[in-house]
Amino acid sequence: MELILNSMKKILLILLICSGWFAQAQTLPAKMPGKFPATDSSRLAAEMKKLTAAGEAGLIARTLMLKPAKTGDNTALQYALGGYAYYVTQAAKEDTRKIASRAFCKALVRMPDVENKAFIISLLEICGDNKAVPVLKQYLTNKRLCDPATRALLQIKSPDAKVAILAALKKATGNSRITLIAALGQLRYLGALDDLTTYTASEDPLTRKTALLALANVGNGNSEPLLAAAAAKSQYKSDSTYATAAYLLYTWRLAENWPIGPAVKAAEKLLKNSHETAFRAAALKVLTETRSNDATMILMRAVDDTQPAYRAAAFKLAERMMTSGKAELWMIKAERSEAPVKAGVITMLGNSKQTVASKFIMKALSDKNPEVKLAAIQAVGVFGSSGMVPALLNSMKTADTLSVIAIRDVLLAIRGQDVLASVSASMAFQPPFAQAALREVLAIRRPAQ
Amino acid sequence: MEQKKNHSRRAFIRNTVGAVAAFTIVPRHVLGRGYLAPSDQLTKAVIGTGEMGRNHFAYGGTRVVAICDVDRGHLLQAKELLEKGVKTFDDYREVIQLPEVDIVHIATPPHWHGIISVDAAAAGKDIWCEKPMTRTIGEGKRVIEAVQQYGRIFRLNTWFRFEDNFYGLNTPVKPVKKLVNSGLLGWPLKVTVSQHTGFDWKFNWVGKTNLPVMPIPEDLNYDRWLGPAPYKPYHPHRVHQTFRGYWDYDGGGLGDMGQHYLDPVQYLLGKDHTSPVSVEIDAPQQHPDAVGTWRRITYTYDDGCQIVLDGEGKDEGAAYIEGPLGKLYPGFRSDIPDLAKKLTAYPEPPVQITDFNEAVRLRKQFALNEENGHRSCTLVNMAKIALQLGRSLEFDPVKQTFIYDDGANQLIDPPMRAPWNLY
Repeated sequence: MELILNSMKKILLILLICSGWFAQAQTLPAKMPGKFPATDSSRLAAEMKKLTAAGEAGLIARTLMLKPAKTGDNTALQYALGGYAYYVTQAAKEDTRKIASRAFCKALVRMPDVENKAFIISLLEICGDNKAVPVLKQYLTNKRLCDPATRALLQIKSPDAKVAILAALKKATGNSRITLIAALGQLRYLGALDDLTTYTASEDPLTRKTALLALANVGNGNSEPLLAAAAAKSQYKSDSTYATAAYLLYTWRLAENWPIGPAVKAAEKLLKNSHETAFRAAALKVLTETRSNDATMILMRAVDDTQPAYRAAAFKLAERMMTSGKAELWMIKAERSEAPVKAGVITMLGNSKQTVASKFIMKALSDKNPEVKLAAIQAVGVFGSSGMVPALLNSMKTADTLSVIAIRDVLLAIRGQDVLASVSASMAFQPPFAQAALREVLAIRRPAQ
Repeated sequence: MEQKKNHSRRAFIRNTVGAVAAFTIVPRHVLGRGYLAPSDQLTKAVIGTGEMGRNHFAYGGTRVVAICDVDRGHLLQAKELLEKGVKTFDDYREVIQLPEVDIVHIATPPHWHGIISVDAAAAGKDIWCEKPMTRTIGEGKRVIEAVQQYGRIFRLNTWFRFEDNFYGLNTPVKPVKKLVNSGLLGWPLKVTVSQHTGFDWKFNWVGKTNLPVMPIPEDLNYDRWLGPAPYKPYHPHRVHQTFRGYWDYDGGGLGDMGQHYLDPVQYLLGKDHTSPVSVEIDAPQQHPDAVGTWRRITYTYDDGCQIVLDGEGKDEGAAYIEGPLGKLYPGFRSDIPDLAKKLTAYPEPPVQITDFNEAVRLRKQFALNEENGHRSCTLVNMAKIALQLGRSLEFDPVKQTFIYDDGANQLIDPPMRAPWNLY
């Protein structure tokens, strides 16, 4: 009996020791964080599984092993913890991610060193969830940590994150305030409208600029008079206040909502008042996207503008929305326009590869205006159709130097077995300069014997 | 190279009628009303006057009127190389407002490229940007929007898709493009970018860990140098010649050389408007701050075309391009008999606009522009994300997001340090 009792006591003792050791292993700092850096993906996954097995307490313990600068090398821990933050963001690891976020938060409030805190917050930027918000918000008024904490909250994006940033803004100063204002804009938080509006009147130019852009980003209809007044004060120009850029951003935000009337009005205001090509081109883009049914008509007016860069921007916009139906309208427009516009239309039809315009382009090859002719040659090059080669060669007879060179380049790039035969047949009828160009085409393209 | 000589406009005119050389000056009436004539020299501001910026002061047809750097030492060195009267700045936001500037040349570290490009576009400037185009995929998308919204001309500065011998491949890209287009190699193709096909991945651009905090040099505005990047205590290895070793600013040798090497591949494969559907990596784990090395990166497009980046040099004997019907090796060697003869029967690749000044004057899209530049930069940036995460990824080339991977998507467009942002 005594023997049995002694044996039971021993077993109990061993169990007690084991359970004590186990509990200790879960809470005390681990001596070795594993083998880091892992040499490949499969070893990395194996190390990450070990960290997962260590549980929340193990992760906290390892996180708290980070040493302040000058007191030790954190490299292995940074590999381990950084690797883990990325690891838990994989699909089907949502529960592990929650544990990681919770562990990093618990360690964060216990660690003293500010740079280590910044590092852990950067991991929460990767794997943090809404439950990290109450912890992160503590750092929004900290000069060093406001930026990393805000970036983490920007990635979390939850309603709680927005509320936390707005609450911090009321107490923030200096760079922290700028950071929080910008974040509220990026989150497009309507609840921040009043505060953002207030800061647009700040005496500090950077605060004012950041608030204008943030307010624009929120895109509320009531902000129009304020943002328009700021842009007007800048004469709708690009300047250091970014007021016009803010107004443009605002028109885009309005354009994302229904009804689109306010966006159209704002874009028209910008188009009317700005003399800068860039802002006019941008306003034109808003208009063509909001008034999509009228876009072709708007763009046809725009290509008659006196600013070349604006005309070019209008042609590019038209090119990106080209259809065969619109191409027909543009051909009519070209016939009624002066050479620069006609050339622009041809280039645009060529770039958008509108086969419905083939005949129109081939006809333009014999246009008397060199700009139109050159555009037609280059459009043929984009089409790359061997059926256009005879017209191309015919146009060569009256072509100037630039056009001859352009035709040569196009003939070199067009696919088709019959290109060489056409070139050879046409040789005798060409002027000397064109003959030289065609000889070059034959020399390069003729199959070697 | 021989072919390039034969085709150039200048060579043609020289070889035929010398007297017509004058015609290369495009008459104003050809350009249309309001355009700048070639005789009107374009003006530029160079932002970032380290070695890269200084090397670009002198390209033809332009004149430097302003320079900008956050390191006073760089700025003074640069100023000495230029004519008197060139304006100097430490804040690019002042430079882009100068009415006398036509082109903004961005030669800063990559974490600034997106922001300066977008701001310069809004200020009505045309843009010449060094590679890699942007540090993130999200920044690249925004640069496209801004350049197109504001009607600007953008050039990404790598040039191998249209000129020069392509590193150790020892041939220009144009005849290779002609070969690919001919179909003689078959389809799909596999391109191997390796030391054995002529490319060096520059693994010297790795970062360091456990950096001691050092005093910031007086000449350097470190806060401005960091700009949108997270604040990290100063150490000289973070800035200037060695910044590529840190994820916050670039991506090591892949960031430095990736777009140089991969943009021509994208062009060769005809993938200028798309991206791969997957990126597989074989690499040691990366440090969250310091960039490390990698062994192999494989991109696969939806049609089966592959690009293999061989970092270890294990692919001895690999062809540069391999298709079901043939292979091409450096020096334009091939296992296809009489390749050169066969190729003469095929058309040349279409002409590209390769003169940036001409593109600016005529308002025409440059050969390597915001759109295809973004796609080739996406090759670099998607691999950087895979390396950081330590896992292979699948990508939706239309939405430009990763599939079923939150962590990867978080790195597409991470928040910036205020007040910097892409508006």
